[in-house]
Amino acid sequence: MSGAHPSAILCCRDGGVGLCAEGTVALLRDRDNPIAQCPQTGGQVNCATGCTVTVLYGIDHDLIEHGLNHHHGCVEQVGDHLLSGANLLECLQRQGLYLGLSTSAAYGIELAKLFTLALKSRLDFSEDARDNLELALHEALVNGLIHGNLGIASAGRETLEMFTEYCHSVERGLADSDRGLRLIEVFAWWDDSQVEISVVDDGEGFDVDALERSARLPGRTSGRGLQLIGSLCESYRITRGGRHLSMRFKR
Amino acid sequence: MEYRIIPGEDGRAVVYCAGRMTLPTQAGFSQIADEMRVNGHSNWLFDLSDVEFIDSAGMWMLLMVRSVAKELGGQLSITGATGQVAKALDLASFEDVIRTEG
Repeated sequence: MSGAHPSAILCCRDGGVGLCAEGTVALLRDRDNPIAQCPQTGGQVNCATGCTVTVLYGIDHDLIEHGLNHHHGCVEQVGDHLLSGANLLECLQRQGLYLGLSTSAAYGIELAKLFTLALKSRLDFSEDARDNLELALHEALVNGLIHGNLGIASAGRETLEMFTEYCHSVERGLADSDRGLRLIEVFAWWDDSQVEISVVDDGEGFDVDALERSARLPGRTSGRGLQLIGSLCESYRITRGGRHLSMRFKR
Repeated sequence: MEYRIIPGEDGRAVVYCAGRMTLPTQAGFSQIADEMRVNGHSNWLFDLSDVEFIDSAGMWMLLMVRSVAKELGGQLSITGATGQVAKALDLASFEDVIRTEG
């Protein structure tokens, strides 16, 4: 799992996170009694960029919504691990929007809807454009969560019974203490002309060329999600051996 | 996803669906399939007027219940899709695989 404890994030439960340029930072577990000290400022929380994210101890729909709308996103803490990946710092430095959640948490909420509503509140785009973003992000998330982090192939869904078994394998994967806690990152940054949204999973990756070929075949049994993504965004890229899908949309 | 099944005026059974058609709603589709098999109708119309969101898994589940209708010797059609649902079905060229009415 790549959700290592970050070295440059300072956070507290009520949504304040200071991003320090460097240094060792601890979590603030109690909003009223902060226990962490920022080594950069001798104890004062001093945010270098003005960006903050909310830390979630357990999944709370309202807190995620709050973090997305009033800060620059959320990261989930599971045990001693803060589920933030390598992209958090860059996202915050770009004043973007970031989510770092466990697979089981991300699967259980309408993440694409929450994320795109938060984007819409920041950027002036139409409801139709938001629908496009939501569906594309949703498909990317499903790919990352199920095929990536849970390692479940899309083949073997030809009958209803096979599809039901496929769904049961998803449920078993979500309950698995390893796969269910793998990190999924969702982040976005933008400029005046475009929005770029990424989904990064922590799975084994896949043969990108084979999937794209499958998506173009008539009568295909997989790849419909990728076909939708390609129809909804200006362009997309799959990198890191299939673990990172980034989509660009015009503003 | 919520649903209710009522007999239609043309001898078909109509399944009114509401909410989101995504993978976590798979259990609802399994229930629909079970009810289809004991219902007695062979032809089915799925009314998607109150479906607010569908993804590729939701489309896949529609194909699954269509296969049940075929098992029963009948057909399955869809109707009423609007907004995001209509757009997603169109983008996926879904009318090529399931008959769309209205």
